[in-house]
This record gives sequence, structure tokens and C-alpha cells, in this order.
Amino acid sequence: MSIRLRIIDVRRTFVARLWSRDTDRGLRQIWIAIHPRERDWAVVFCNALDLLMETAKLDRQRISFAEGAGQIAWQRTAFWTIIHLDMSAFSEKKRHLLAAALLKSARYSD
Amino acid sequence: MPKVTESAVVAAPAEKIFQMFVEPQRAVMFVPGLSRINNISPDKRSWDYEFNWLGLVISGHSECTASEAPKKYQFKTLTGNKSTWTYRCEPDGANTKLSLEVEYEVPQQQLARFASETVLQKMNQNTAREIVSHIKTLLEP
Repeated sequence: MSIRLRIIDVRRTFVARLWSRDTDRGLRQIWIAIHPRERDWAVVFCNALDLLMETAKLDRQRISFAEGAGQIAWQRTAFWTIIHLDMSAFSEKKRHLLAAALLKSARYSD
Repeated sequence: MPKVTESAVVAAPAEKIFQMFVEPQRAVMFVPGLSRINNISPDKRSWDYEFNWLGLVISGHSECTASEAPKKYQFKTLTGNKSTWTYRCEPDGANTKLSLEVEYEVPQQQLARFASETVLQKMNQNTAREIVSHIKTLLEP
């Protein structure tokens, strides 16, 4: 079995960070996801938080974690989604790592 | 084969750290550039991986070769340039000493095009350092 190279990842969802605010007390980010097919964001982010060993609580289009100190919410249309991430718990380093891991999940989860 | 090692003391029990390794998909959360883990076997001892490196997708297959909870977890990448990854957890009071050793084949054909062996070693050392640092960050409060 050999290694395979591909120039374009057709399964990837385009997700870009529109806005970010980072203070001593918290991290807030807004992302936009462009998707030709509908994505189940609840499944994507609940799975990611489970892999990150965080207990997630789903409420419609919002998930809270870290006992309510972390929230990820989304507003979906047919072709794009605006995603809001808000964390006021953890160290600055951990907040950045969690945000990067959730962004990676939004981009690459099937 | 050349190898790089990296270690850190993590304020978490070895059992909790070991949980990061036994679920192959979890690696996506702390390995830089790793984008997907697919086709995981029912016993979780083999899987396919995909790295996204500057837009280039590199995919291959891995197999777990040792899983001795909570002390040692080892897997091998079996495609492309073969490598062996070994995580070790040693209790250190209330903490755990986590170490990662990566042994890798030097890709002779690619070396001429992309990097010298020293540069490759530095890249692998940096990756190992990031992985250990990410695990520590995720598991500590």
C-alpha cells in the first residue's frame, strides 16, 4: 500500500474566521462556513467536543460546554452558516487550542 | 532509523492521558496538520489517516502495534515513509511524565527536492513538541 497525494480536498468545507476578540478573560470568534450541501453542525461539534473530553449540552442551534463557560452557536442558511464561538473558561493557550480543534472539525468532519 | 523524542510532565493521571491515544480519531484534535482519521477497524487497531499540508492532502494507513494501558501506546504508519510513534506514561506523584518518541525513515528521493536531513529532523522535533504540548494543554485545567 502506498501513500496517496491529492492537490484538492473535495470533502473539505470552506470555513473562514470573520472576526476574533481575545482578552485575558475570554475568546470570541465568528466564522463563516460555505457548504454546497447541508451540514449537521450539532453532530460535528458534539463529536469534536467528545473527542476533546468536554461534556457538551445541545440546545437547538447552540451547544454549551465547560459547564456553560463555553458556547458554540450557529445560524444556518441553505448554503452558508455563521458560527459563533465564545469561551470564558480555561487558560489562554487552551482556549486557542480548543478553538483551533473546533475549526478543524468544521472544515474536515464528514 | 533516525528518531526524535519529546516529553513533559502533565498534571493528570496516566489513565486519563492514555485515553487520548486509544481512540484513534482523537489524534485529529492534537496532531498538527492531521485532518481526518477514517476506516477505523472495530478493535481500533488500524485506521486510515489524512494530513493536510499547505493544501496538499497526504493519506495513508496506520496500525497500532502496542497498547499497554496506561503505560505504553505505539503505532506505525505503514505507507509512504514508514514511522513508529511511541507514547509512554510514567506516574510521577500526582502527575504523569508523558513522552513521545518518533522513529522515521528518511525519504531519500524527497530530500533532494525539499529539505536536508537536518531540516527534516527539526520539523519532526517541532511536531513532537507541539503534540506533547497540546496533550498537556488539553488535559490540564
